[in-house]
Amino acid sequence: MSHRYRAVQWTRHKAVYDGVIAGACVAFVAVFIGIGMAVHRPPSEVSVPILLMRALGTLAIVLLHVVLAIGPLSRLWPRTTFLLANRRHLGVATFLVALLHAAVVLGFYGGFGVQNPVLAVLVRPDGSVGFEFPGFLALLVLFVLAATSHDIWLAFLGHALWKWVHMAAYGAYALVVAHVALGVLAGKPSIFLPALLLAGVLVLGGLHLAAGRRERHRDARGPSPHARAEDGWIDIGDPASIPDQRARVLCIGGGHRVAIFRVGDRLTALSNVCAHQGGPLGEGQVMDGCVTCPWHGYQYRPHDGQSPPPYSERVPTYELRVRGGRVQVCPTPNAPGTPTTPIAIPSPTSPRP
Amino acid sequence: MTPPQPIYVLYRPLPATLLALVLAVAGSLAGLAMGVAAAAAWGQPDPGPGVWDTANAATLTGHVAAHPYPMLLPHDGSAGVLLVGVGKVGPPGAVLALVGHGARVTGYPLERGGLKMLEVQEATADHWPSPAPGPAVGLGVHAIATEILDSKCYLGAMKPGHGPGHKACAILCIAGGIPPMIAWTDAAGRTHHALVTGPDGGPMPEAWRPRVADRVVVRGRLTSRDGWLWMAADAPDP
Repeated sequence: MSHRYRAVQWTRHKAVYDGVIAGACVAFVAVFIGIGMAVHRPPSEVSVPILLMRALGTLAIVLLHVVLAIGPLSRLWPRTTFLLANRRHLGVATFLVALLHAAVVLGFYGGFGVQNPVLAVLVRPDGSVGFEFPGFLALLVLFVLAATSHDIWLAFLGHALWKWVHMAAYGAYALVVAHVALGVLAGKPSIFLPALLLAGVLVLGGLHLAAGRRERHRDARGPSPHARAEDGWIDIGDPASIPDQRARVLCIGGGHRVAIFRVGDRLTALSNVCAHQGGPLGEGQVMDGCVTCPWHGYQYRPHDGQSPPPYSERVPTYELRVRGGRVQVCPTPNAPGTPTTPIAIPSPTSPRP
Repeated sequence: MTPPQPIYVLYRPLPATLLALVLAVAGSLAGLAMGVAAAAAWGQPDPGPGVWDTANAATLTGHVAAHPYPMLLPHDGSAGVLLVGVGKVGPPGAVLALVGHGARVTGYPLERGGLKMLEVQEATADHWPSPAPGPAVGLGVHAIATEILDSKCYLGAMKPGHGPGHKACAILCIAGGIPPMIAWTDAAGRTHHALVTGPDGGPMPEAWRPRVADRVVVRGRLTSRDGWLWMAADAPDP
């Protein structure tokens, strides 16, 4: 959480995370080049710059797969939500690795000649473009995503538009698949490479389909018709079954979700959508008296949906009431940051108002 | 009711109950990535046996011929040695100034399948008597299914120096004056190579340049001389 923007607000976790990512990238390239040199020995060795080019290209694809798999993984197995916390660092790392790959390509394939290296690689003598072009476009998209990954852009665009912009990562993925299919695979490699790419596409596609199906099923479920009172308020179910300091997420129709939080014997209701990146607040936890988003730890007071000072983020609140010994939530949200009165969980023996 | 697992918050200590999961996920991802690196490195196609000895410069003497491409005909009578410049360019002016004369040429040798090339570092006139080019032997008109290559990369400057991934580099090399070449395998499994010129013996037709590194059929007259084949190629079909 921030009320002032810095390049990166370093925490020990972020430092460890970035160190592990950097170490893994170096290890990946070392393994690729080491095995490439061990298997393809003179006189049939692969040139070292080409090994480096291929290692970086393969690594960029692997990183892109991981970046794109984290979202559906965290929806399917919420315990892996921790992977989301620093996903933007992984995205920036993907761009940097792809940039290095492009630099080696330009230097080695486009350099040492009589033409501009960029034009030599991207444009054919008849003005057409080759398999390098989709790779170049993918690099541009990754650059835009990396450049706008900072919270400044998130605040400027709003999380909904920011999310849409960053959905372009899927476009970059499609361009990368085209780049590899038209270039590397057209060169008749062993079965390993097509099989690896196909496996990646299938795994990524399968994860997204499964996660989408789960979310759609969850949304479609919504409140049952008999849970809705005549004035539209919605029964939240048994409040006693909500774990303390946790929430139950209720789909109230129209794709909207309310998180009903329990703190001791009190209940409050907030929008399930974090004001930062749209994270699922209802999958978070009350920490230090504040609802804490499981994605990046943004916090909100349960009763008014406001971040504690000096922070300024706010989310909509919802009114709760007790009718006939049942807890109901108003389906119309209050303006973000509107205070509400927490209600006590009615005991099974409490008199009905 | 089973108490829910604590969540991870990036500015708070990692919950002990999540540590094992974090380590397991990180380890699995790292192991998977290394497996991909190993498989992808292992599965690279054979780049061919070209050799470029950049550690040991060689000095050759002989007669400098200009056709079909600048070449040194060693005075020991062995096959001609193609001469190119440093980078993706043809031979330097010092070599071209010696065409038709004896020369002493120093550079880094490239070789593949018995074909030799020298990346020229230095060329000077040599006063020893040198052989003139041998007689050209016509081998008729042929249509060959092949790929147009740049001879420097194919002979060992870049490995692999062929295929669609190398297309931009091959086009750049040929534009810079590196002789274009084709390679094909006959029914007996023998690999043959020929330099490519235009129909009149001049440079390869421009229309072929966008199709370098593609699978194409090149048609033209084959000629043999001084240990090299070359094809005077017709322009490609539109």
